[in-house]
Amino acid sequence: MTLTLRPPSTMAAMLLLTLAFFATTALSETLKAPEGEVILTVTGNVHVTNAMDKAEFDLEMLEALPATEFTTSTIWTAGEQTYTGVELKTFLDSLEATGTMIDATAINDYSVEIPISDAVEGGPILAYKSDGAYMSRRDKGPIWLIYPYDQNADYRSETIYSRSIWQLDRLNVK
Amino acid sequence: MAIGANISHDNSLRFRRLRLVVLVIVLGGLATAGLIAVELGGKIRELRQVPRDNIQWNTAQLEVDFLKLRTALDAAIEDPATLDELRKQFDIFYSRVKTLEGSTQTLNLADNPELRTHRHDLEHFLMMTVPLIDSSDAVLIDALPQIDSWIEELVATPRLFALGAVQVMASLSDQQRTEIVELLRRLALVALGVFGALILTLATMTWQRLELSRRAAAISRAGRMRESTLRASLDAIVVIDDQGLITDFNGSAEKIFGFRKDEIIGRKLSETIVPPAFREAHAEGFVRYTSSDTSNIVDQGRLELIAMHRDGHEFPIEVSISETAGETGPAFVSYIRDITEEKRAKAELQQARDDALTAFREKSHFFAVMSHEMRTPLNGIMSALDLMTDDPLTDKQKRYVTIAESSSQVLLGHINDVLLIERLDSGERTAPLAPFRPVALVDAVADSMRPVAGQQNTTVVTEHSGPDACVLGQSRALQQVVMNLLSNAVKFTPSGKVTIRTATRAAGNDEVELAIAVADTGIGISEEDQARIFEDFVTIDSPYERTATGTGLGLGIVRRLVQQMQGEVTCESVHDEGTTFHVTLTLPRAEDEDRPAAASGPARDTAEIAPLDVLVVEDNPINAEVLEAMLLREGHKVSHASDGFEGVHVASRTHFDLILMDVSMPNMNGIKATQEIRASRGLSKNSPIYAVTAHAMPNEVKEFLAAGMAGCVLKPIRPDALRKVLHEVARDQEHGQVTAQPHAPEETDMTNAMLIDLDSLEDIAALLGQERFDAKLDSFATEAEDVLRQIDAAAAAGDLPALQSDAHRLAGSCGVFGAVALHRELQAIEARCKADDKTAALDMAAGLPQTWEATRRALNTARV
Repeated sequence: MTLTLRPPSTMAAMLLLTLAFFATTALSETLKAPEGEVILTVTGNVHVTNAMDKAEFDLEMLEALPATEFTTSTIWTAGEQTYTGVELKTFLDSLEATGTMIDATAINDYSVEIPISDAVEGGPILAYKSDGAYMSRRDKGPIWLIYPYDQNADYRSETIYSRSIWQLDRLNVK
Repeated sequence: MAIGANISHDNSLRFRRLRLVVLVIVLGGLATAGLIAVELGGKIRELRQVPRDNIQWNTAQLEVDFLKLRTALDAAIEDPATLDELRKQFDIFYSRVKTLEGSTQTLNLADNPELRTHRHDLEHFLMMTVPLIDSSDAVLIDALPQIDSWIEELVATPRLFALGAVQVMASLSDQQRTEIVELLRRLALVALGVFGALILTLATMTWQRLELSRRAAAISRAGRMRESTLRASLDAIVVIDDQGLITDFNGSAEKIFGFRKDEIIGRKLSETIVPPAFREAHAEGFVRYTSSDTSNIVDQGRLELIAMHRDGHEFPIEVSISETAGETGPAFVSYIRDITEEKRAKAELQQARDDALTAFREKSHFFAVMSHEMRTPLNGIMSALDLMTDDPLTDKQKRYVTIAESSSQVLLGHINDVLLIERLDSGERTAPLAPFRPVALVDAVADSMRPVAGQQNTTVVTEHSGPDACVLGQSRALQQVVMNLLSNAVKFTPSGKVTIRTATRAAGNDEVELAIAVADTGIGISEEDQARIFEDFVTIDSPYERTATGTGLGLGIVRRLVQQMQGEVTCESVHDEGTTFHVTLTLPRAEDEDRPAAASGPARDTAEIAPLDVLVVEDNPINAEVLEAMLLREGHKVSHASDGFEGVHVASRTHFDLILMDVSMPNMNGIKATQEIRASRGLSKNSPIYAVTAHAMPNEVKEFLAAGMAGCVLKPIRPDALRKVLHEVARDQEHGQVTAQPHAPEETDMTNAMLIDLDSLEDIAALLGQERFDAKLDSFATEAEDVLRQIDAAAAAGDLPALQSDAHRLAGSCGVFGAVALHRELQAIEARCKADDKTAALDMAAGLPQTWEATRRALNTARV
């Protein structure tokens, strides 16, 4: 490493320089600004942003992220449906989010705390399509956090149901 | 054991049945519990995986959202700029209603008619409102009052719906809880059942285990008992299997054989305790063995065998082997005892018995010798008394002499008894058989006893029944038997009556059964005494004991003699009434003889004979004096020599008609002296010489004859016996026969014994068998008579060589047939011929016919 055999003053200078370099790099990961209606705003410990300390997404931006699809029944709907969306894990990773919890809040102001640990591969998705159709506000859209209930029995619990927030429009990572 | 097995069999049957029942219960319980558990599991899963949303929240939220919508509507009526907010709140309410619809659909909440109505009202509102909301702002603004009016109508509905839903949910929860409780209760019951069954199973198993351990304990106890039995057994116990390998070896076996159990187990019996010499036989026996039925070892009781100790020494054992079932095949259990000690003890016992017998014989022999020694001085006493009566005596003296004589007589009788017993016990040859008439014999004995009986007023009566048969037997012995019984009876029957009965009866063609009973009217013999009266030296206590004298040998002699004749003697007695002795004999019938057989008492030879010159060679002065006195009384001339040496000297100078030669003398004994006299050229060299001795055993007599004696006179010398010898010598002189020769004797054992050697004869008889022996005797007699005629002829012709060869020839045959007297004479003739002593040879030859005649008679007796 370059740190060896340097006087302390020099070392401090070097450290500052290095931090400045990293900060520049982080800033360079800026999201493009949303062009359509903003349907989801992420605040808190996210390092990829497109506004002041927050990341705003329109539907197009969400769809640009890698999509995941699974078919499941829910307790709120009749019969099975195929949901399409971005895995929570993929979504948070793309924002370089750090922390343990997420405060998720809906348009109707329903709010629930979701541990970051829920964000796993094969875990919940930020669904924007149901059976191939975009979900309207009347249909729990535009974004519904859906867990693959049928695939994993652990997801058929009251806690998970309470985290299955629909009409989601705000996330705060902490 | 068999009952125990039945019980355990019953037990195991019961066990099996019980086990089956328990198994069914447990399995049934488990299956039920399983089913319930599955059901319960489902329920639990159902509970865990909540199948519905929080309805209460949603219904409560419905009211909130409805209020928000109403507020937004009011705001929009005031200010149309807030139309978007109205639209948003409408969407939220719409979404809420739809959500509830989904939820209620899932839950069949709609079954509740009230809720259905409410939901229907809500849906109707939405259906009516949606087109208006979705219209342009203008249209919507116009419709706002209409929407407001609908909302006013609907204002209570969300709340009522929420309440109804809560109620339905509550009852649903109740129902669910009841179901779960019911399930739990059933599960608890089943669990209880299963638990009970398990307890039962446990109990059964515990009981079974206890039973099993009890049985195991019993088995091990039995095993230990067997072990300790084996260990404690005094006998060595060795078990081998069918391969001959030792499988068990107890403590006693260790002690006896010196092997430790652990080092001998598994080794072959034949390589350990079977001695090398028997190993092959043992192995063969083992291979041959099929079953104990055919074995001469197994199950054959106690056997005596030889075993080997670990250190190699062999010792005798007593063993009993039995077959039993082993683990792999037959096994053999041997019970073994070391009998070394027993054998030794037995040998010691035998030795002790032999020693005792020897001691007894020695004592008996000593007794006999003593008796002999006593007889010699007694001879002197009796002879002196006899002589004394010839002198004139005062009455008093006569009485004393009579007492002395009768006492001497009694003493002599005792001595003779002892000697007879000794002779009978020493197993000497029995006397040869001779024909006699028992009736006459009994009469004679009775006659001889009458004077004695008369002295104490006792009468002796004889009674005879049956034919007066003539039988062949030992008349002397029978005479002695009758005499002893009769004198006994007389002795114990003073002033009474003694009856002798004889009864003869033909038994078969050739035999006569003779019964003799001697009955007295005396004091009787008690029963306990009857058992022992035939023993030696037994005298019965009685008031007459002082007068009744006896050695106690009388009945002992009777018993021996009767037994010797294969007869039987018994005694019956009633106290104070009398005693009867019974003698029964079975004797062969004999041809009637012309001679009276009963003439047992030697007839007194009263004929006067010419005075003889007699030389008495005797070292004992008293005996010599007595003998001289006897001879002088008979009118003979007597010379005396005090020992053999002097006897030879005197005999050479003087011719004597008779020489009486004592046998045991100092310096030179009678036999040696006789040989000297015969071998000398003295004047008495051919005079008859008679041995005077107390020892008259057959082999001694043989020796006398061999030395050249003519016969013998037994000490103590009785005048009768002496007179007989004198008569014989005188008669021989009258016939001109002056050569030494055996006198023609009475039919007595002794004289027969002098003529023939009974030993040789019996040996030959045994060798040839009676028939051939008789034939041989006949041919010998024929030969003897032939040769004697030739000798006579040769003598007449004075042909010495012919005489010598004939004598030699006949001497050989005589030797074979034990005709010792003839043999001796023939040898003497042969010797004379060789010496060319013609006179002597011819003299001797002249005497041969007489010797032959006597020999022939003796042989005939011996033949029967």
